[in-house]
Amino acid sequence: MVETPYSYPNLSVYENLKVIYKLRELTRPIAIDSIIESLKLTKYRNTKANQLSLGNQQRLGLAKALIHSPELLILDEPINGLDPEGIVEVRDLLTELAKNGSTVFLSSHILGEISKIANRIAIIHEGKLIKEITTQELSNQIIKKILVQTADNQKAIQHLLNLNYSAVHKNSNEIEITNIEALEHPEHITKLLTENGLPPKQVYLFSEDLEMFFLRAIKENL
Amino acid sequence: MKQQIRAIQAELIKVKHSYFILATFVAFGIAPIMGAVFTLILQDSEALEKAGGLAAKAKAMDFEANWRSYIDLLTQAVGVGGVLVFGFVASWIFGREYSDGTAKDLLSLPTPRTKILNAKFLLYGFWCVALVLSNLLVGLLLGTILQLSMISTDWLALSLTDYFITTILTIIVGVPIAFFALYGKGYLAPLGFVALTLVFSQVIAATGYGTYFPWSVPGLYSGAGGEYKNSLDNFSYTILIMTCIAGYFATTIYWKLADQTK
Repeated sequence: MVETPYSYPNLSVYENLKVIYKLRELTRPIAIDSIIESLKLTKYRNTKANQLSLGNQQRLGLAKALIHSPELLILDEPINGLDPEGIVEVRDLLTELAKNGSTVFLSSHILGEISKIANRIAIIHEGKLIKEITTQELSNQIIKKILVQTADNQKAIQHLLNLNYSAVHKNSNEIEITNIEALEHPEHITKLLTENGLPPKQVYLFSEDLEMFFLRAIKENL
Repeated sequence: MKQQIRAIQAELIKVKHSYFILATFVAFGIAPIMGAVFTLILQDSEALEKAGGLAAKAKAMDFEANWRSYIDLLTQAVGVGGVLVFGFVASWIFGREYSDGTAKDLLSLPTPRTKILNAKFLLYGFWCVALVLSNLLVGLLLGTILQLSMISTDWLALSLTDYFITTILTIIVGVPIAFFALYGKGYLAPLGFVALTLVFSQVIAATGYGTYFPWSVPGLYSGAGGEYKNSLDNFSYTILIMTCIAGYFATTIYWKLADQTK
């Protein structure tokens, strides 16, 4: 399915799907109404495509792509124009398809959405594949750190260094700690600082999101 | 065969609720109405005097208030006007997939592309036949109302044979339009091609070489070119058929091999 799916404007949702049903050589007429129901288009079953909202046109495009329960599906920006509810529906539908054995290739610039549903991510920059990782590998590669703010950051850093934590002072008046032990148990940092009279004003577990990872990956590739 | 039938069914669904169908029937229906107006003028001596321009036109066309003249007029409308209207039909059927943005949906289906194109060609043929039958029915209705004088059944059979042969020739000559619709990815290129062929068919026919220009042949056969009809020979029809075959293969081969990303 391409980014902006088009349909025959003079035909209703049902008729548009009927055209695809015929050309896909499907034999179960119920498939049309099933996909209409799955994509919450029942209300618009007899509405002409040129009277649908952008989101519903996108749903119709997805219905055309999914009507035959494909084993391989290539989607370009499938959630373009969808409302939050529609995004969740499409996400669930794609997850369901994948669970049933279909392979879904999804290209999108909405990386937050990709990180929610993909189990293998490829980053393409300027036409070149620069990274391909599983979500498990991604989880190991993304930057995680604890950011702490105290009344006396210098004193807190000295104290943490004495305890073998790799603490550095950041320009944003924060202490950055990247030890795995600290990341696994941030409550230990809070406890240590509090016991030494430096109760943290703020403790924040920062985790790089896919967007940041993407930007870092393309920068490293330059 | 099953794939072909399903492709035809898909094409039939696609034309549902289309205003363009009605528009073609209305546009093509002008011919029998024009014939009826000529008849009315010729039947009424008072009107004949008032409608000087129309009366002169009717006279120039050797139009008489009888069935033979009336059916011949309809035949000429198919041979000349048909090149335009059938051309519009072909442009719409093949160009709409690009205009509607649905062409990409037709590229990765179990139904072969050639079968989809064949279905479109069949729809084009059905549509054009429906247009000429509609004109004939409207003509018969108007002619009956106007009480046109009867001619012998032999003449009637001859006129009707000419009518349907002209239809076939006009349909055949419209086949290459499909290529221009796919190549130009829309309506503009095929409509431009139709306009060009119509102009050239008139100009070339006027110079006397129309017998070897495929788009002039239906018009000449219809009798619109008067005595030039007799100059049509087997070579004329062979060129026409070769144009149709070349148009068909250019269309199917192009759509199978073209870079569809452009």
